[in-house]
Amino acid sequence: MRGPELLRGTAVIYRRELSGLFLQPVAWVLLALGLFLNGYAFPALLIATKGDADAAFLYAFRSGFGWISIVLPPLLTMRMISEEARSGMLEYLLTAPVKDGALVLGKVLAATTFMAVLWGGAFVLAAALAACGAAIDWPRLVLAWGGTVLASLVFCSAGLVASALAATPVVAAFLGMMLCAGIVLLPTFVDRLAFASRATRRALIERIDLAGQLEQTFLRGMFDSSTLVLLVSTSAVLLVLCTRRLEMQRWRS
Amino acid sequence: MISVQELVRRYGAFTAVDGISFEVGRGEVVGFLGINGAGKTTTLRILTGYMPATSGTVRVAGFDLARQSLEARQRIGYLPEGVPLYRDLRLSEMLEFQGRLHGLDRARIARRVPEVLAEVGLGERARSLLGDFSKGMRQRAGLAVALLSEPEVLVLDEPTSGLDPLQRAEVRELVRKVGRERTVIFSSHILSEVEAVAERVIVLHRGRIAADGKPAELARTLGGASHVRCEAVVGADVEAALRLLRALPGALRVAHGGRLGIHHVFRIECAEDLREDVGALAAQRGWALRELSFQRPTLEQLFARIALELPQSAAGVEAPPASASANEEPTSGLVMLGASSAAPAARAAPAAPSAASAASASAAPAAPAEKPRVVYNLNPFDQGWKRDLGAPKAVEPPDSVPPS
Repeated sequence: MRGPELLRGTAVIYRRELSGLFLQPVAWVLLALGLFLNGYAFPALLIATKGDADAAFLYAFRSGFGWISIVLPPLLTMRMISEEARSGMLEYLLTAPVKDGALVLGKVLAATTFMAVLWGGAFVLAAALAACGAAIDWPRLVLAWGGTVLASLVFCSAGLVASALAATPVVAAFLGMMLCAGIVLLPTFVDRLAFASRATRRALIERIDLAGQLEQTFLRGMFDSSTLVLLVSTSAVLLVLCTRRLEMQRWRS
Repeated sequence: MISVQELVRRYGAFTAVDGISFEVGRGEVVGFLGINGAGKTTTLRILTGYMPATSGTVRVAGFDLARQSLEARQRIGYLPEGVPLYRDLRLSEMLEFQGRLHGLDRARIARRVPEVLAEVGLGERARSLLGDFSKGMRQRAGLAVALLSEPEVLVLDEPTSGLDPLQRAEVRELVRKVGRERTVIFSSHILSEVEAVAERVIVLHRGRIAADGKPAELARTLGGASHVRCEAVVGADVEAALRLLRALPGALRVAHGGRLGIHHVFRIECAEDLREDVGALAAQRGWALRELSFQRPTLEQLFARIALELPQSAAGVEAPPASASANEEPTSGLVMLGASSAAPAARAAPAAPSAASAASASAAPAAPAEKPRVVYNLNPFDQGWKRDLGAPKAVEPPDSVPPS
């Protein structure tokens, strides 16, 4: 009973949030901006890699991972809980026969789908290159895209946590960006701290470095289950935090 | 249909709902009445599963809200205060979303959407954006959303809040209509609305149930006795007039409410209308009557008594128009409304106390000592023919204000 209920609720919320995202002008602006910047930067990357399309895509995903992941997910998720709490929609949703987990999952999957569409611009560029006669390693590109979307799931989850914590969307966006930046920069912080030997620190960094692991595995066309587990479990922890926050909101409201 | 036992909800040290218990049967329309902060919204939020209770149990349609929350919520249609709706959706899309949230299949959604739209009178606006709706239309749209899944219980939090009188009447009629088929619980602080719609009223005060029953019964049993109000010129011997009035058959209690100019105000508590008897007595004694009216207790009196925490006997007692001392030392009508009015208002419980009188009653003890005020006596009968009406008269404020 619980599984199907969770799935049904997730699907209903997902559908609503996704349509809500695509009904917002800001989402289209972000999408256009992301695609424009990708398209603008890609020829330069192609020149830098001396025409190696696969290497150019690796750089494109890696460089995009830095700023796009820090800025866009919090902008997408900022309204999802904080604005609904302000407008009273959260009360409506939390009294519907839907689990809190389904609510959170539906929202984060909708934001991640939006990010998947954004990252999907790479396929347009690849198709254009293929049409011009370039040899594209399609399975590698798909894996790189899939890994980046999974990483986006982590950042959208962080953005959603920020939205649940903040009272207004603007604060949620700022907090979300800080959280996302923290996730990206965590290995650097750990490296700077002199709490253990360098070898221990390196071992720890290897385990928590999302960007590094992604670059070494998915972006290079390798499916790696440990990276998959790291990304999914990090998202799960953040989503559980978000659900707990909603439960707290019930107690405090 | 709804069973609430020893429900408690605390916010830190503050207890918003303090051990209330009640049952609501199938098809009953119950109005939750209470001043702001009485615990109405908190109780309704617990009933809808939005908020957990600190202790106590709530069962909706046989399901324990704490353990079988989803099953219970499936059977509740809820219209929160403020009517939250997605402004970017069309009305039909909002209803479809509600249907999917409640697990309705497509065929049932397709059948129910036109039905509820017709029920709330928004059939023509199905394709309109909710963001373009007026407040009254939003309220009706919210009601349509709450009704879509054919819930066994409908919970409406302040359904007419912020509406104009015409829209209020429309929503009231709608609630009455849906109340014929399902259990409805709604909160309000508009007494006429509750009286008009609800078969049963639960009055909450400070998180507790202060009264529970049919509006008319409650007003009769708790709102105070019926009374005849009489304003008459009875001469100097007020005590004699009081004795005569008390001697009337059916008069339960007679109170002298002071003076209004040359007229004395009497309040004769009685079970039946005694106007004819009082009129006959007045005619016999030659009293000049200015007012003779019969007043039944109202829910408003009950509500006021509960809200102001007055004893039952005080429910219908009117604020005397003059201070008690006015009998011994008459002062002008203008003074009563100004400097010294706080004292009698605080001393005697008002019949239908307004916020202003309540405020003056509570504020009076803390007020600084007032300076003598210069007033003009407008009533020539108060001071007799020797009074120079053109000269101002200094009036001392009361020495102390007795507690209410």
